[in-house]
Amino acid sequence: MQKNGGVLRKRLNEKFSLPKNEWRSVDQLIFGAQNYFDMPKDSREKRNKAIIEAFNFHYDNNLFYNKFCKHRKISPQDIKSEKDFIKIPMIPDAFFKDYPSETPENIYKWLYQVSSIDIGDYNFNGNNLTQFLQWAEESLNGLIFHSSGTSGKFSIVFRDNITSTRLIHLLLKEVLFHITKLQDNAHFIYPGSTKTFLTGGHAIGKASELFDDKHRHFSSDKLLSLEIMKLMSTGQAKGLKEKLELKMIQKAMIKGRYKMIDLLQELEKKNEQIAMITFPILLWDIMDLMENEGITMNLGDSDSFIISGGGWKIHTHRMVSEDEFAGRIEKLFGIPKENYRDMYGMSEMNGAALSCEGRYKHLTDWIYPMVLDEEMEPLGFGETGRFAFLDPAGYGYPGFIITGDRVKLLEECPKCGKSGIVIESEVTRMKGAEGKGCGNLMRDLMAKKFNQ
Amino acid sequence: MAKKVVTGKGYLIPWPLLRNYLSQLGPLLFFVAKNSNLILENMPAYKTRLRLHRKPWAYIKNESEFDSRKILKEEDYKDLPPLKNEPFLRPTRMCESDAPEIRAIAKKLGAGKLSDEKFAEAAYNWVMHEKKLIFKPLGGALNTFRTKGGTCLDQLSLLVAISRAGGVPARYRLYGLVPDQQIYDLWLGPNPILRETYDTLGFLEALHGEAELFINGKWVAGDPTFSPELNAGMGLPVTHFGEEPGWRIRVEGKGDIRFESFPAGFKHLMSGVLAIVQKSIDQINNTMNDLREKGEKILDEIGIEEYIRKNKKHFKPSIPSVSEVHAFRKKKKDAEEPFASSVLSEDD
Repeated sequence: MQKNGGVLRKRLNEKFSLPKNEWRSVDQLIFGAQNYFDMPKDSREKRNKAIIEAFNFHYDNNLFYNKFCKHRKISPQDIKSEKDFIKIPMIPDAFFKDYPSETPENIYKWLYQVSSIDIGDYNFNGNNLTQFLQWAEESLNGLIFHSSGTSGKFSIVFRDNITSTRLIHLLLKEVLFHITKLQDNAHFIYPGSTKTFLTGGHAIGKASELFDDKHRHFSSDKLLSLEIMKLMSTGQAKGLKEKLELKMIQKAMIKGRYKMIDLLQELEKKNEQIAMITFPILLWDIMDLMENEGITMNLGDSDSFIISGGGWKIHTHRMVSEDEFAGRIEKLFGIPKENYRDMYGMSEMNGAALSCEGRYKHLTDWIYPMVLDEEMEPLGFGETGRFAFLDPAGYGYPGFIITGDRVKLLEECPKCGKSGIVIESEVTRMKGAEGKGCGNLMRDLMAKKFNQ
Repeated sequence: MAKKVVTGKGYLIPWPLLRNYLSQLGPLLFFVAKNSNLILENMPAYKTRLRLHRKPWAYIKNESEFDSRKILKEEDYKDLPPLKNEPFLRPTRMCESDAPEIRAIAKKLGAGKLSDEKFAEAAYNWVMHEKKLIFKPLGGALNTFRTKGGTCLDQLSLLVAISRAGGVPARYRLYGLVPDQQIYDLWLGPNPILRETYDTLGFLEALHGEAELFINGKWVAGDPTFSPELNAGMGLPVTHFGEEPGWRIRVEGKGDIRFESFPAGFKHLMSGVLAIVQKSIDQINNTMNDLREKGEKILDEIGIEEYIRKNKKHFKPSIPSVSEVHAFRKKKKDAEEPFASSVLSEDD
């Protein structure tokens, strides 16, 4: 058996990749690069070419975006090089919840109206939104994600086959091949349920298909339906059935923590490598439990590693730093600090920012990031403001997005020589932007009030 | 999508509207009971009103300087647009489109001279610029015309009334919404009764809406609630007629209702709530005055055109219809495949 992850890398290229003869410029960066931390020198030029290609494509194929550009008096003739990128019209992330109402037909119509590709006919016959999302994914051969819906309305991001293949490839490559040497018999672990369309869990579920059933593990197999998520995020219980369903999910999630600890102890005995991906809150909860019961492990010997993502607000009024988190992981799991990393991503972005050993988050090279001031004018590196980005990997929708996140960007990492523009320190939310995060929703799901 | 349009003069409260209010009443009463001590905090506000022989929920600032009758001259009252007794054109509760001053302002804004579209824009802009958002008991169109402004529903009433007086059919639409964080912090955050009620419900239902004006065969929505200086004070874009305001996210669904007339009794529905949270209401009104002052300075400094230009970056274009998208794609496909297109046209 190979020990260096060669089998998994090969499987990644077979299972989650586009045929090379169909690659566009952005695909050379996503599929062609071996290591996102060590990109070729011409990657920025390729990125620029990819962004221009993507802009032209959406302008030509997306009536909504075409009208948007015309309103701003911008056309492909105006976007010729990097210095023109600030002129590219960007869509606020709140747009993704602008669908007229939460009925399957209306969501589908809206997707049809705002997509850059033809998503076909509507012939759904099911009963609820969760069934609709299942149907839509199958019929579109893509992935649909919804946000945590903290405002009472979910963002819905639809990815066609091309975009979702890019997303899953980049996520797996980033997570599995940038921290330590991946072994072919590594176990992929997520302390949550992947039976959901909530961005984090759903993407992890799809990515876990790289592993066979014996090597992928989740703490729960309960369906976290969109209806339940809505109940969670708004507190609007519709009836006894939903309340009971919610209680059962909460119980299963709580029971799942014990299941996870048992599994980790079993793998520790076998000395098999673990690649755990988690929301900080989920792991924090498990660590609380371990500390209360005096459990410690030594997973460092198997070169195991942990990646988190999805928000740092562990408790309502408390932010935990990445370093504090790493320290606790080292203490309880015996995993060295450098084998724990955090990753930043957004529902709408087909890219990611994985932290290096120095805890700076390195953005994948095809994303063109910007920081904007209150008037949406660009700020320079080193200044804090609203995060926006041009993502040429979005095919079914224009990936030119203004977010509600507040960040500071640095042109290069002050701690290491790895590739990528870096995001410094914690990412927070802009004033006026609604709270976000699958992690926050998970926090609520696990919150003590529901244990009672 | 709103399922049904309720026509008529509003002798009865339509069931969807009543249901919306009833669904909010339970949580509201619960949090009033839970935070009953807060009602005592209203005592100074009540005493002031008692001294002035006013109701506990009354708005007590002098608004006479804002009476818009002052801008009308004698000739404005001559040759007024004709009255019509048709649905969406006739006067209804809180929408006194037959009042001489409402008809006069409609005439002054170009009714009968401008196209329906231009007149609607003029009416929208006038209400948005001249009348201010104030939380106070509902007064209707005429009262709003004669004062500084009123609630969002009062401003809608005034826009609907001017539109009807000018011969452009108009109706109301109420819907559920989620305010953005800034508005939440301003309107709901400081008062535990309002905040906890909202947090339990997850959104506000049937407390806000828009006017819909029938122009060139289509109902076009306008929400003049936030005047330019309030928008500027809050850093929000100034919205034109037909654009979605930036301070809230629409939550469509069962709370969504379109109707011709506010129903009987509606005017008094909110008075009790106002009385319960009167201290907070006074504070919110003061804060909004401060924000308007701040916004005025911003607009004085850079000019409204420049402010709109800068904030245009927030602009979201309307979503094209399915048939528009279909036609766009067909055109593109035809351009890419001229041969296929010509074969199809022969078949046709």
